[in-house]
Amino acid sequence: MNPADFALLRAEWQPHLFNEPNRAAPAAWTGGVSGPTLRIRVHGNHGFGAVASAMRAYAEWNGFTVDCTQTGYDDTLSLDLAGTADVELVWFDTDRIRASGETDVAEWLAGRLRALRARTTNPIVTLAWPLSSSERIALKRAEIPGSHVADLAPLATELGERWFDPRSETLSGTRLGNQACLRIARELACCWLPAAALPPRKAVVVDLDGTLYRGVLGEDGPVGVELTLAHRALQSQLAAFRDAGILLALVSRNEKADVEALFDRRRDFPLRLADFSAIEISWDDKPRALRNVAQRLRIGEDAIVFVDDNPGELAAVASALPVFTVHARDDAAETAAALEHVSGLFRWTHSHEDAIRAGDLRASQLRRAVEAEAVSADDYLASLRVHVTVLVGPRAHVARLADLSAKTNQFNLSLARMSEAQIADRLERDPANVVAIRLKDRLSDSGIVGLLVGSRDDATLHLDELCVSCRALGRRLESAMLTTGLLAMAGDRAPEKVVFSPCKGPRNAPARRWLEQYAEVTLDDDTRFVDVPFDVISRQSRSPAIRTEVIR
Amino acid sequence: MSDREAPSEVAVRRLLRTILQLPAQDDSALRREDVDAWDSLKHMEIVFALEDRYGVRFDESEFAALDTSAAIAAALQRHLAA
Repeated sequence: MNPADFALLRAEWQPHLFNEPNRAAPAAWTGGVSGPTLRIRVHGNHGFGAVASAMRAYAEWNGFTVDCTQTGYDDTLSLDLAGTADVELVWFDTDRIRASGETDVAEWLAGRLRALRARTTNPIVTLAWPLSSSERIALKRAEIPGSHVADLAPLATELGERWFDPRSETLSGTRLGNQACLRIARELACCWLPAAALPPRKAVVVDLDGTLYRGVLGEDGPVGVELTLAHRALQSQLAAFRDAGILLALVSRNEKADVEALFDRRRDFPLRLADFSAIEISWDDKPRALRNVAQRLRIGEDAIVFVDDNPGELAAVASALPVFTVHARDDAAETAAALEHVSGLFRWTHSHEDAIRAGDLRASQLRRAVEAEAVSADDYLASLRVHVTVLVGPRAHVARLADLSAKTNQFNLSLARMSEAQIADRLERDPANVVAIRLKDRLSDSGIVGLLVGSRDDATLHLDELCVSCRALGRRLESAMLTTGLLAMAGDRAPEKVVFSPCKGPRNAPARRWLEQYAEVTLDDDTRFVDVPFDVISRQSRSPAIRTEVIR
Repeated sequence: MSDREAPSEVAVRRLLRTILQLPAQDDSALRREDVDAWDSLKHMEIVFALEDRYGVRFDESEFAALDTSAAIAAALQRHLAA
């Protein structure tokens, strides 16, 4: 199916899949998607079929497929790891072990999750029920890297007596009712599993007319457009995305002055114009506007979700760009329900970096003005008061480091895509060879923007992962940050050489160009290793205007 | 949203064909024993889809007998008339 047809099919299916769940809807989905397959290995003690059968439609609406394998019902969670999988799903009815006399369910489950962690680096998602809030908190405090425990309590509360259905045991081997299984399938396929195992979406780009309000600005005027309760809720949902570190942008065919007047006069709008990190108001075509937005936000087009009320625009955008499209419906509650279930927007955790992302992007515009006025590179860096902090063995930041490894595309040299479990394992075995780089200047705190993961033999430091967030690029700091990080990693045992591991990806040309200049080499597509004598690295000049600090 | 009007057998066949992913143009009666795709998982989907669509609730003792389009249409008529 071509991308334009798929965008139209998704628009048509939105109300069927995201309004009140109905078993017939996901069963009738005939999408046919050629996206990636997520292989789920289910470890559980009750039937998963009623969930798995509905997950297919929700996953395919999001452009990927799921392949679930349940290894049998097992109250002891003996963890059969036969076959291959991308995610381990623990699907557990805790009453069955309570009935057998287990009194500390959280501790017992944490023990089984630790055992699973020791045997695989795959992300682990746990859906256990019933689980009290204190048991869920205890499981979270167990701090098992790359392991996430879903909170089923809100769904159970919402469904009330429909949560359980004793008849379901006969049909599907679980006492969870049909609606419970449908809702769990939707959350798993759209939110929980993608957040554990698929690339995240980084920005939501919205149209104005018929999307953020009812009406047409050019005809109804700023005061005449209608903010329905559902549109207000949709705008609040977008504001919550922004607070969670997902960037917002505006693409609209309107007059700029009208749009400014709209946000100026409509104080009842939850969103302000300043909430949008990129604004494209013009009569140009929308694919071009979205390309501009991607460039300004420094993200890939495939990390963008575009919301528009015109299916023709959605098809035109989808045929030109790998942007994910959502149809803005006249009832904005339906738009919000679909948007909530776009894979890659849900996050298991929210980091400091998520909270500061939009502000940091705004600061980059100010930095360009500072650069234009500076008389030299040192003057520019000095005026920014740049402070680079290198954290050696940063155990407290595993989730952020995995996030960097997963999300960074442009400045990711090895594309190792290390999971939380893999980074935690490296930190456990060899903490000195995991380095995080934090960046701050007078305009903003960018948080942790760089990651280096190495491994040592006697004379060689092998660099297995090297990435820098796109927010830190363009400040002439890449070499200084990475050199400081490499020297900190080497510590007082200087190796003879550092071996970089470049890998050619679809968008990592900036990282490859940096290595070519840094190591004075030329990379071919199949160059796998680049040896750089350590004294070349230690002799790299770094501006005295950059303040550096190493914390071990 | 459920539809409280008792469906004809033709409407039931249409729903069954959708869930079983059978060709829509064939409108013949359906029997579980004749349809390979009508396994226990699909049976679960059919029972729950009927309940969601028509707002009925089958008794557990009825599940096995819902094995033809005619039996399903008759069971729905009974429930919706009650």
